[in-house]
Amino acid sequence: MLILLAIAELFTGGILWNMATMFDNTPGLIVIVPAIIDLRGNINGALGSRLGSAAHLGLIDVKKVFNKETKENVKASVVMSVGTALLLGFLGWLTSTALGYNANALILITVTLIAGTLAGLILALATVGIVIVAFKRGLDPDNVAGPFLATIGDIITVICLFGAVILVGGI
Amino acid sequence: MFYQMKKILKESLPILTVLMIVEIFGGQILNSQLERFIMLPILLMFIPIINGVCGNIGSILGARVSSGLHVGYITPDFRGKELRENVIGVLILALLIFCFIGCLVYVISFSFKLVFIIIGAGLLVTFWVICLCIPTAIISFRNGIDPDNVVIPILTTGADVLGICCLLLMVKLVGI
Repeated sequence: MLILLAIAELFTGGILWNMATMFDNTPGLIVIVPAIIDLRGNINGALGSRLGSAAHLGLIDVKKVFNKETKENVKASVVMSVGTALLLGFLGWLTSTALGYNANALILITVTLIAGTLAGLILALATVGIVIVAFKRGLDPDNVAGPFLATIGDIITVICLFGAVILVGGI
Repeated sequence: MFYQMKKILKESLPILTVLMIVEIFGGQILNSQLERFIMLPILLMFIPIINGVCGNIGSILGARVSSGLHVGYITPDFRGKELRENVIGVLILALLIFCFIGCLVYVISFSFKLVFIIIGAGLLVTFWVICLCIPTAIISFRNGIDPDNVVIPILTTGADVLGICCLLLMVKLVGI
């Protein structure tokens, strides 16, 4: 599975390659790309890890995975996605201004907010999904959720970022 | 209830903010070295592979050690058979994967130098990821912080930044 995921990473690199012209048109965008990709992986990797621990502790069981504990975890993860997206837009603008790019704070923050929230929502649900599937097949969620999310996270975040830039560019 | 949104947010947000800044700087290192990478485009291919594989290995180890600490079969004192088994397991996993990737690289490029670079950089990053993982997990657990909230974020960011640094280091050592 790890080998399959390595191939998926290459595909993501390809999408980024196609976005190259966007980086020229939206100054400051290149600064936030590594950070936004990494953040989505961090937030949902931690969510997966918590759900894995919850499974080991017996706090969630196969029949009713979407219980109170799970909901609280998902809620925290989504709130974090939105909060960090806002912060990242601001930090990205600060860094790119310091580096001498002519960045627009409003555009950067809108882009990170749209991409971050959208990707955060999709990935939080995907995390619960992968934990449920791992559970039902008798696999240890700890072994599956982290790698799966880190990679899928990269792809979904890049696609969401792509969409957000087009959307904001259109307005 | 075991999990509370407030506690999760309180433990995660500060570390995520710090990592965000680290990641922005890491991106700038890559940006400044871009010309070196563009001279040999296959090196650009190596970056997502090393970041991805080492991040994945780190998150498996991090999640397993966190669960172990929660359940109690790993004790927070750097000793114990379970912890050792987990570390050895991850090392073997990394060795197998990078040997496989090394073979692929040889088939693509017919260059032993490149094979040496990717295997060397990959194992170096894996080593550092393990060195980061165990202390972070144990120290956060001892201080009452849920290791699930901090270990994986630190490891994946660490793998990203260290991946670029180790790759550059190996390129310099092997000399292309």
